[in-house]
Amino acid sequence: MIPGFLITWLTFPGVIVHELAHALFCRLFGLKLYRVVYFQFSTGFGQPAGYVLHEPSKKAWQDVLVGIGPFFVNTILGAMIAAPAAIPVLQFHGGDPLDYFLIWLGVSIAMHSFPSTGDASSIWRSISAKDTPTLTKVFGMPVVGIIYLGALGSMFWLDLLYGIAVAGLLPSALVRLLA
Amino acid sequence: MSAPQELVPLPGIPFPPLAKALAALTAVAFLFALFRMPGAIANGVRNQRGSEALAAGRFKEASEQLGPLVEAYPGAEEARISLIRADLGAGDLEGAVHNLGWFQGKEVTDTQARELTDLESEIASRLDKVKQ
Repeated sequence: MIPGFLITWLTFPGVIVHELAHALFCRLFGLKLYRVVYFQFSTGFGQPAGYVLHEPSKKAWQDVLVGIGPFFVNTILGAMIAAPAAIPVLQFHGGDPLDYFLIWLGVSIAMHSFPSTGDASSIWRSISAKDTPTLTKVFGMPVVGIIYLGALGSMFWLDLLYGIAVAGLLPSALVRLLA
Repeated sequence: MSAPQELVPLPGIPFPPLAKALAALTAVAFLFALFRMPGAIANGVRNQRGSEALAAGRFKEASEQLGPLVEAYPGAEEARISLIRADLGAGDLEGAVHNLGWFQGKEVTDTQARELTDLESEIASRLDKVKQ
């Protein structure tokens, strides 16, 4: 069995892009950043490989978007980087070493799309506040649930499977659609 | 994560050297991928259409689809074997001989070796008929 932290080390670009996405969303909403740790060699359970400390937003929906921002950034970036390499490698076995590098980079970035349980707690704190609008609570609560499900699935390599699916299956589906 | 009050706000997004290097690498990879995307998708579509045409016995169409694909990706061995079949079906012996010759000295899988041997025999028999 390969330890999870080893997979995280091998896919470190994804962690860095994930934290950068949090930081970018914070800047987008004008939230103060206190600390950005892009990557650290953590091995213990519950120790994040990276994190961003920021001021909480006055608007809960902004906290939700800061929390789930990496899901969109990592997924889109990972898919875009891997697609032109995955098509020749998977469909007609015509790839070169550069293609394999791009696939590794794409899978690494896409597999770290899932927000962490730390992100979920941060979103939960924000949406469970008394003055949070009901609509934000209605949309935010399922998001927290999905994040926890994703975190649970990550214990069974769901994040890696997601990364492979985004990098490999999406381009194949696109080609089938266009052919 | 939300911050405790005593922390000092950062002036912007900090970029230590490792993050800066990786951001630059990712940006280059992204631009490179964008540049290669149209070609890769076009060849993926050619592969799909070529395989379908070959399976349906539309050899000329299969040859037209697979030809540019193996030109763009010379290492696409499966597609090249399909192209030899398409060339043979379309009566383009010259093309079939040329593509078969590409495999000379190359390491192939056992399945591919069997397929190539069959195709070689088929080409040889067609060439004999042409000579007669």
